[in-house]
Amino acid sequence: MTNHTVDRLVDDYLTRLADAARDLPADRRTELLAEIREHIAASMAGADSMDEAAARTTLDRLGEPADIVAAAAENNPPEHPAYPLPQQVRRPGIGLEVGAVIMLTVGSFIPVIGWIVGVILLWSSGVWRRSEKLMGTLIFPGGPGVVLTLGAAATFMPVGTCTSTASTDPSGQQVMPAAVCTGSVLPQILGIAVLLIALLAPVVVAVVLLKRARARTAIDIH
Amino acid sequence: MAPVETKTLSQLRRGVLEYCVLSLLSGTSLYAFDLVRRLSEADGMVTSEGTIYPLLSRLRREGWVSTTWAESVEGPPRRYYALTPAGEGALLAFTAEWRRFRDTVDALLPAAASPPVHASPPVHASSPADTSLPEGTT
Repeated sequence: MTNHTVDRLVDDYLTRLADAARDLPADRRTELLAEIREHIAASMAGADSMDEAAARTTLDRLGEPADIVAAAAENNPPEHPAYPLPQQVRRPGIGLEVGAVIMLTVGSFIPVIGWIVGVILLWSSGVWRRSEKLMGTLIFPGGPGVVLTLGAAATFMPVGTCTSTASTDPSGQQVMPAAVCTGSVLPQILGIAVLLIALLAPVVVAVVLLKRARARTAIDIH
Repeated sequence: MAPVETKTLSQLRRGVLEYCVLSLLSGTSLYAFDLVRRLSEADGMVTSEGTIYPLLSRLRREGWVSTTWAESVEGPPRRYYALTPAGEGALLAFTAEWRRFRDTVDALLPAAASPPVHASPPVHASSPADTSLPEGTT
């Protein structure tokens, strides 16, 4: 019976704290609640767990939830610009962005689906600008996987396939006509060079996208 | 409205509290709960224990303290706080500054026995029973 009262007192308190803390950043809020919960448990471990008076004293000493949250809001920005922060500061995750870039490059070797997933991830991220998303999508449609497959086929094919490859290839249009026709008219070496550029460009774009994502999420901390 | 004295004191307290935390952790690591209890038992330092946790969180983010988890015999694992080298440096720097600051203020303030030049705040005047003020002691 009394134990029930103690539980309810603690639960009420934690609910009020969670309510008051709803405007804090999610990770700060979770952390604060965990620590206060831990504090209550530690305080009650010393006393009889049925002891209602002990529970009240613990909560009284903790103070009003609103005061605790006010202290949390106050302590949120770093207040010591004179002492540079060590790099232990945790960045907000850029898992989505990393996933997008991986699917656009390596993932594009999974036929069709890989690259499409990459594009969806790319456009659902809030970190990049529209122009960057366009760049990620257009260099190159299908990704290196498709470029490599079609490009290799075109480069090493006989001269006559030039026109047919260019017209029947719906996704690689931008790149392939050049690669195909060069390969067929000029020595194969040149075709391979163009192919390499076509492969490298998506990698460069991927690196640029990742760097910008990292830079932007790092700025958001301060 | 809070009297000026209370406001000043609370600002002073807020400014030094984090260094008191660092000082408690100097040379030893402490269980979060014990750390908070020690602070709240120091006279006049903390009014509500819960407000110390956000401060600890900031000190951790600034790299002045670190936390480790330790298994406990009874109950869940416990979070222990310890000073980092950066925290130690900050504590040393503050300690030196504080001594200087304290000496300067002490030298500027009137000696403890003599009453302030301007009259005591009206709060005291409203309680005639409270006559144990310095006026009678000279």
